[in-house]
Amino acid sequence: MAKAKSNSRRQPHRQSGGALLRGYFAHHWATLRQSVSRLWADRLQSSLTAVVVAIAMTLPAALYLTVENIAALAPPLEQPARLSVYAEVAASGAQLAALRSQLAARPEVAAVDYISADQALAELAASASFATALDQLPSNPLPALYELTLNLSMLTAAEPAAGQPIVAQQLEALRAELAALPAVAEVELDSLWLQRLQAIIELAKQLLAGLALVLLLGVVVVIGNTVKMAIDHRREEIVVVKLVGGTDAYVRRPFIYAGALYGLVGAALALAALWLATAVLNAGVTDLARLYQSQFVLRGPTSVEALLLLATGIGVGVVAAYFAVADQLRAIAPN
Amino acid sequence: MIRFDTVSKRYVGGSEALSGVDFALAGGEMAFLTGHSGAGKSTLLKLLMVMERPSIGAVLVNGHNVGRLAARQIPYYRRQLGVVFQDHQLLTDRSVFDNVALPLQVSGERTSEVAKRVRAALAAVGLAGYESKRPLSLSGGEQQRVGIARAVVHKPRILLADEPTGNLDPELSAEIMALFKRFQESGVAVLVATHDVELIRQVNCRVLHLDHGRLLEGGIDG
Repeated sequence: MAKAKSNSRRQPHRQSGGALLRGYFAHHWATLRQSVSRLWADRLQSSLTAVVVAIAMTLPAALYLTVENIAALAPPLEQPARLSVYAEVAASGAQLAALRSQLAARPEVAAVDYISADQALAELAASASFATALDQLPSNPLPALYELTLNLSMLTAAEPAAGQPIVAQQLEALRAELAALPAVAEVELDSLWLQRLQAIIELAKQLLAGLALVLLLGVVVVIGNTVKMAIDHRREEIVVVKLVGGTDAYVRRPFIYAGALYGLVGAALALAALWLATAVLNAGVTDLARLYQSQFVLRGPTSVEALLLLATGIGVGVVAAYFAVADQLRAIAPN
Repeated sequence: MIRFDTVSKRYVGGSEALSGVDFALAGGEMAFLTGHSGAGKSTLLKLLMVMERPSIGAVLVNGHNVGRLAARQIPYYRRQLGVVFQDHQLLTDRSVFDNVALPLQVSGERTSEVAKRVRAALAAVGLAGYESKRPLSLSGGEQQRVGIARAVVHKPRILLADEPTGNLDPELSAEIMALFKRFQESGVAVLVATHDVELIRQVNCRVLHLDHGRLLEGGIDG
């Protein structure tokens, strides 16, 4: 590459910096207006492209919102973790007392609530439908239960395995440890299902990222292809512009604007579809939520997310157009 | 202003389009470039426009070896040239004004200055008042004159023309040549590629004759 010589930048006419800058913005504005009117002149092709872009952007965005809504529905994990320790039904009073003091002595355990077998039976009998059935039983089939409230900060760190939340691992380790104690029949981790849900949500987010990437690549191809067709139509014009001294940037500009507009319009359509879908679904969702005594409402894209989607559309459109034009510019470069 | 120094151009896998071409053209000088079709006229013009680069030798414009220009410098070099094409290469989807304004717009000229210069260029080729017309509504001669206005609107010091009278009748051709003469007289170096022998006879100026890529007449060595 030869160095750019200052005298090779000959302007046909001396201009002040301010005038040049004004000319530059005026040119950008004129180019943008031209690009809009070109897209409008070719409405059918333009709208087809925009719709395909919209579909490709709606899919991952809708999935994202689904995951976000499910995540919002799940109760937060910050609440104190609880463990239910079920004693063996045959355990003696002395064994139970020993188990209780063993559990209470552990540093991870903040509090122990004891529900004896008799208490559990009485609670169950209080439900009218069970009363007669329980009377038939020769002995109390229910185990004694210790409900432990855990102090999460006291959990001892196990070997951290990659990719798993440490807390979940430690809880699982504690559960196994307690289950091995004498007179213990079973230990249930109350928050385990929550952990699992969180893990599923995490996985869904990763899948989503992959899908979004693939679909965005699709958007690049669709916009790139449309811009390429526009370039083919205007090949002569590009050659003329190049021959009268237009820079690559000058040639590129209208196509970059076209790509950005396709991306912008596609993203705007996707956004409209998402808002519409949220509004329509919410009618049913609020009814369903009321049955579960929940105030849950589906949320659509927030304004930040909306802006992000629009920006992504523009960005992808610009990248697609850039590559499409670069190809053509190389084809008419001198040998 | 223009100097070819033993320039040869061989296309990839093909014949030698130019071989050992030597000539110089000064500012304010006008020359015809003639020869049978395929003699290398277009290649010579393409080398000057840096649409092609020479295989051997140097194309010097104002002392700069333009065959060595980096890709990003080429646009700025081309702004010093005015080029008239045989098929005038007007953009049919814009007005005459926008066509003529193109060389000024690509260099970021101020809008008010553009309007002034475009009107002046159109007046110079006898098309004052044609600004808002569409190229396709004009006659062949008028279209070619729009092409010339576009080639001179930015006041280039070198004017290249490739078969500018190819599709025109003798009377219109003579008019176009008179226009070129006027630019030459104002100090522009004018190089006109043509095979119109009649035209060459009418206009008294230097002739560079190409034959199978060799300059037989009008070069540095005669």
